[in-house]
Amino acid sequence: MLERELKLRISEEVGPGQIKDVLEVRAGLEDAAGIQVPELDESPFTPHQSDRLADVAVKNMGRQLARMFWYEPGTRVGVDPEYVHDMRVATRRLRTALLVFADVIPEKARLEWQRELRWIGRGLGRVRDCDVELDRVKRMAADAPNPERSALLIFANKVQIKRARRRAKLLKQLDSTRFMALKALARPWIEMRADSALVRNGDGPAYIAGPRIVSEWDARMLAACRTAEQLPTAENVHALRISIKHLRYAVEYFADLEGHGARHRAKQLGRLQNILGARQDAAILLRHIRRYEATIPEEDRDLLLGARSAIEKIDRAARVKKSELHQVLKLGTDQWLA
Amino acid sequence: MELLIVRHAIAVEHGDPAYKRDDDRPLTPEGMHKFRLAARGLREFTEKPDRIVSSPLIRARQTAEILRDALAPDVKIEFCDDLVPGGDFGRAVTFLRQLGAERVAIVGHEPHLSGFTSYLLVGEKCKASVTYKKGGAALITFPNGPGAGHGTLEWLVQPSALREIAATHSA
Repeated sequence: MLERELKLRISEEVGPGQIKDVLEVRAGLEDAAGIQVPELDESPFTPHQSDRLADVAVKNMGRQLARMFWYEPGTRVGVDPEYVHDMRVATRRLRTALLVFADVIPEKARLEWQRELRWIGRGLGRVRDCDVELDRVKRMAADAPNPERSALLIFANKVQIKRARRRAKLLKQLDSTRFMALKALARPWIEMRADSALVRNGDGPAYIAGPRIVSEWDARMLAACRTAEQLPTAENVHALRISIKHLRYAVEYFADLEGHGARHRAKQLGRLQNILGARQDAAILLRHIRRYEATIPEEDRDLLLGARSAIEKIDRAARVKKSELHQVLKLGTDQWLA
Repeated sequence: MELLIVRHAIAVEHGDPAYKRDDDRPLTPEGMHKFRLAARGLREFTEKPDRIVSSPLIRARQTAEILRDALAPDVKIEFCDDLVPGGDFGRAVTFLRQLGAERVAIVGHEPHLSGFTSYLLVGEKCKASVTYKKGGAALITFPNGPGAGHGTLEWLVQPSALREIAATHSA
């Protein structure tokens, strides 16, 4: 089924009859997107003990940019939502890298990258948010009794239409000259030309600078933990999640130098991020489904009851439990103390 | 045989840039809400269909699902390629005849459905002037099985009237 769908979509892009075999899908993806897909061989981006901080910055930026453009053809074809997700994650890691390596990347370049990554990341995020919502709503609908199921399915249809429109906009973005310019901007990073136009020199070895940088992000996460502990509002819990995400990425950027311990730590932080992320996704879904409920005609009482029943369930899923927050805070604090 | 003819409910506008292929246009949430109420109106004065046949296009399929939920939850939806715009009337009639059912509901598109209705009533697609609004329905009966010019139009009701009927009966 997937193979048939892939061939159909690709043949729409590159013309019928050009795809003979699923093995040609990769070539078809390249043709459909109009670009050469870079190889996913990431070994050149692996930092070494002898690297300066500037080298690690270039390698991390290069790795994420290579990933971002590798996922682009799949994003365009649109069969598998994971491509959009992975491309968006690459833009998020890049934006965090710009903060983590702020000392070595010139400000002008940083600001330009932040602006362009925010632009493309927003387009990807708008599609991804719909995918996350659709996945959850469809899973809920599968187990729901009938009036609730109908309400969830009509809501899912609404999200699907929104997604199709957002995807059309995203494709326009990917076809724009601005995105072409972004690719040109990325080329020296992917080719790892660590010249003075990209990064500042004289920052010493990365194995010394790395732990110092990570400890700064550690301190920020701890501060966010303390704030959320004192006042667990939605904003503070959200800020905590963001600080955990930043710390996780910072740890990952230096993990090849730090070894197994750092990789384990990044995984732990990922778990914390996921716990809070699931609540955040449910909170956004709750807002949207409440807005949908307001559009149901009053005469359709069954559907209204169904929507309200779904809202109650989502409301429960969106609440961060005290025990859960305690677990995140404890693990977060232990992380810092370790 | 009794044939209930239903036009699909309100869908995303033709030419919407998000849907390059016209076949992919789905119903809007408003279309779904309105047709849910219209289908309840239909339930008040039609018998449960034995078979439900839909055009395979998504907007018709979604309409057929709502119709099925309201009229005959245990009936499986079947598809007929000759109910799409431009489908062959003669083959569609053969399809219906082969079903051998007493009561059949079909869901399709305009202007194909009005042409098909005329074909069933008078044997030619443009002779009888019939128009279905989105979500509108008609009932045609055939004393000796479906055929070109063999049908009798029992009624044709537009969706606003169906919703009124639903509201009257639920009050």
